[in-house]
Amino acid sequence: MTALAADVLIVGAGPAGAITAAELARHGLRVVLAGEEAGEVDYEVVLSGAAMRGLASLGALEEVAARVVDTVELRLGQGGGHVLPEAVNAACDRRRLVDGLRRIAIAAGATWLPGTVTDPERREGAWQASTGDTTVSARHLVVATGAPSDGTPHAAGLLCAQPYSGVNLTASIVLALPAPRTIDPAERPTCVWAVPGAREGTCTIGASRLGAADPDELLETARAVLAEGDERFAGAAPAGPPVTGVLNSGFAPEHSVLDGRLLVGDAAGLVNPFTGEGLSYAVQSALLAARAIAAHPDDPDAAGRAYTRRLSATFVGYFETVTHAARRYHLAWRVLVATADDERPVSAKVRRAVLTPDGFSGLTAADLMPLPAPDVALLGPFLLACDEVAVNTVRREWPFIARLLIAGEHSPHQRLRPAAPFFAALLAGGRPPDPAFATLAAAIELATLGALAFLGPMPPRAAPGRRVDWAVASTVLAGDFLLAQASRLVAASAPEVSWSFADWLGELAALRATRIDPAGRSRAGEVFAALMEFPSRIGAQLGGASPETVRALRDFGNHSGHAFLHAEEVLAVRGERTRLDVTLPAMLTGRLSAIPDMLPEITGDLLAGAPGARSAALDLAVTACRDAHRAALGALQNVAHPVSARILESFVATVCAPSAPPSPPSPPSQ
Amino acid sequence: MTTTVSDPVPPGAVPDLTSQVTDRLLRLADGLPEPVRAPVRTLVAGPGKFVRPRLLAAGAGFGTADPGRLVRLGALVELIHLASLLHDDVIDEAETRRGAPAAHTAVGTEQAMLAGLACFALVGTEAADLGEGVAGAVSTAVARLAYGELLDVERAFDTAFPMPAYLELVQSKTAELFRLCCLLGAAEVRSDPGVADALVRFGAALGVTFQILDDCLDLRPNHSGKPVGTDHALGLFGAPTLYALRADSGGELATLLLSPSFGTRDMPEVYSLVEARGGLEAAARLAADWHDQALAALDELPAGGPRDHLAALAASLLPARS
Repeated sequence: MTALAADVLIVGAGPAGAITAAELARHGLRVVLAGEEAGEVDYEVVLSGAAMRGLASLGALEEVAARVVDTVELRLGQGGGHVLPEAVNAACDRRRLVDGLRRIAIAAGATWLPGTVTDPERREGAWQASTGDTTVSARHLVVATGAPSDGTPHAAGLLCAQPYSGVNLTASIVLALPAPRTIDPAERPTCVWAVPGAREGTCTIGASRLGAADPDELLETARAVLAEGDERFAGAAPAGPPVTGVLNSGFAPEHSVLDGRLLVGDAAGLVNPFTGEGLSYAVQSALLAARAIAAHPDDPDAAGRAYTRRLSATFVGYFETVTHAARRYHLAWRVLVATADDERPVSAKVRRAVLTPDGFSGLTAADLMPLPAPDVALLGPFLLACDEVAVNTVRREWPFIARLLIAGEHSPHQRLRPAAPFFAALLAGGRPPDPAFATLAAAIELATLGALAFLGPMPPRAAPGRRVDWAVASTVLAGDFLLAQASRLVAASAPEVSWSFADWLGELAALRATRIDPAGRSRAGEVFAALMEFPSRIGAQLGGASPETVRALRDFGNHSGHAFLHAEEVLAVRGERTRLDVTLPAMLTGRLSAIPDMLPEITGDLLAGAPGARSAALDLAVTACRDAHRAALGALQNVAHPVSARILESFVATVCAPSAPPSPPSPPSQ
Repeated sequence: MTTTVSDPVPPGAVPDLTSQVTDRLLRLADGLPEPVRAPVRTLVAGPGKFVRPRLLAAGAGFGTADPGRLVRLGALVELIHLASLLHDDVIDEAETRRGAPAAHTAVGTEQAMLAGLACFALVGTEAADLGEGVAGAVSTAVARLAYGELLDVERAFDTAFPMPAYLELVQSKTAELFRLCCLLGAAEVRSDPGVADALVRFGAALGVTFQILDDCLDLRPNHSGKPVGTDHALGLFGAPTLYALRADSGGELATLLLSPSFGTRDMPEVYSLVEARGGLEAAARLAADWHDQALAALDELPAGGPRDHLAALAASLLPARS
């Protein structure tokens, strides 16, 4: 017998185990990675943006021969395909992935022990297990053995994949969520996907379903769903045996540490219940577990607590409500399918948030505000506290909405979000902002999201019949839910603002009602001006700013709101993705845009895409955006506090970036 | 005004509460922006039972209230109810409300939605005006209502909706507002904690009883006021039907309820299937349990005029127990 002493024993040598081992070894810990040799059938897997970032941090993307796939085609219900904007993914051969990750772990210093591992036992503070004639003893134990076959009933299902040939799929990944066949909520969603293979003409087709399913039937459904109306799959023929696995999406942070064992990846139930996707979570949870252990090398309990905390902050939105999970999945599925062709801001964002593993801030696109490091150090903790309150306020009751509130993986403090000007306005009075106002900041962000549900154009009514009109219902539900939660936070944390807050919501309703009223006279930008004016004004008041400064910040907010709308128009006319994920036709017909007011004669041509109309509209929007930018900067003349003014200046400059001349380049962000 | 409901007036109470509440509501509605004012005024002027303001005023009977504030508080709880109705009708695509075309059919979906939002905002400013305590209690209750609204939509057509989930729904959707009325009434007259606590429990239990009996009405033939079977057609199955579904071993009732062509004409058959499976009886037992809880809480209140008034009001709200 050989005896090995290590800091960490990792049982299970799939992607999650190998990544945990590699990351721990890079932190200088002694690691043993034990598990079965890869004997798996070969098939292609998807690496999401989140998975790719995790692998890149280990320098593993080349080692596993990941092939970037530029496009994700989303097919929801009967509707046509969408291309998911800015989704960067890769395809990768599953065996190469596992082998490559093991090589990286070994190169980083981990010891690789192939073979069956005995069940680890803990004796006198050390975990012990053996493989063949080697026994391992380690302080920490990580379990990465994949989905348990006895998963939580509401979250257990089936995953299947099979290689195919005769397919003409090269540059995109296809993800399909077919429409429900009945009105019965007991029906479970099936998710289907196809990933291009390394060799031309090949792909892997996969499917997942929660609840009981037959693998052959599931794969046949997958093939049929893909082939329906899509020539590329017409000649698809199996090119290898199918792979079947257990789907377990029963993750709960508090169950991720089991009697001292840290569970990672599928073993922790970290699988998207809609798409069956687990690799992103495997990568992320492996890195989180490794970092938690590295932070507490001598204290397994502390490492476990840190891991649970980090998981809870990272994996928001899928796994929250055990008692209601099945009904929440059903709700989300119906809403996704019902809003498949809906290009309103909220629908587009929900689609991305629920179906893709990448975190992002729900209010904005990826623009970052350039800020000097000391300002970031000041703003960052406040915004993190704000996010925590916002997420915790909604995650238990409406987890999918919580996905809209996680601010992305990098630079949450530099995102374009209402909490940033609110914080800057708090500062304007010259006092350091009270951290307790982070709760009010969260209320403002929840309310902004809720207001967008009501202030955007309405979804069209569903076809008549015996059904729930999910698109309309979810709009009303989400709006009511978010605004009510926001009001509750305000009453609890800053009761002196309750009246102004409610008055703000009333003003938004009034402005939009007047805007859509044929007889009403309301400028398009006023709704957005009111939306942005409140955070600045109320922040200035609470921060004890002088009346002149409060007025200046109110004006600043108003001008930024107008600037925001015109920047949206600029992006939409150019055909680029807007911050609200809204398209030009939706802006024009939904009475969001100012263009039809100013140039009524060209609206038809603009909708038809006439170049002359586009260039006139673009000129108009760019000019209006720059004017509003200038006016906002003018208002800032009366804000004496340098940091406050700097954050606000950066905020409005970022809002107006789409209208900026192509040069000079913006300063590098911190 | 079409309000005809009147209660015996206990000493110190507002004699014409419902008409004063209506006046207050109309004044509030006048402050709304033009495009949404009309639908809200129509709803205010329609025939309402003013259950919530009356409950609030009765709860305030255990002390001395300022009549002007009592009217404003009454209008506030009624306005919460109206705001919910506006949004419920958008979600359910209801044709009529209180004898008139529902707001969304009159002014369109988006304006009706904004009218509801404007009412909720008005609830917020009015509550804040009435004091921090009112604003806190109201915002908590409205958040619970919004959650109840979510539960109610996601359970549509669910023939296996479990009873604990049904009770959570009813407590959030209906009982929360009854509870709020009692809470605000007690707080307004600074009732001592024992009285306030018993009142709040009374309100919550009364609300659950009210909803279960309302569910039974949806099944009952020849009930006037709202078309029978409306909720069933929307897939919102109440306590009797949910109980019956648990005993529906052959799946006959579930199949009927999920039929795409289901309509109110199918209600007699639903009624007999529910009846045969013991659904009405089980629901009546459940209602009786909650009614007993309400009466037990009532018993904890000091005996006398205010308590008798509250008991009489409760009895008038609940349709006869079957």
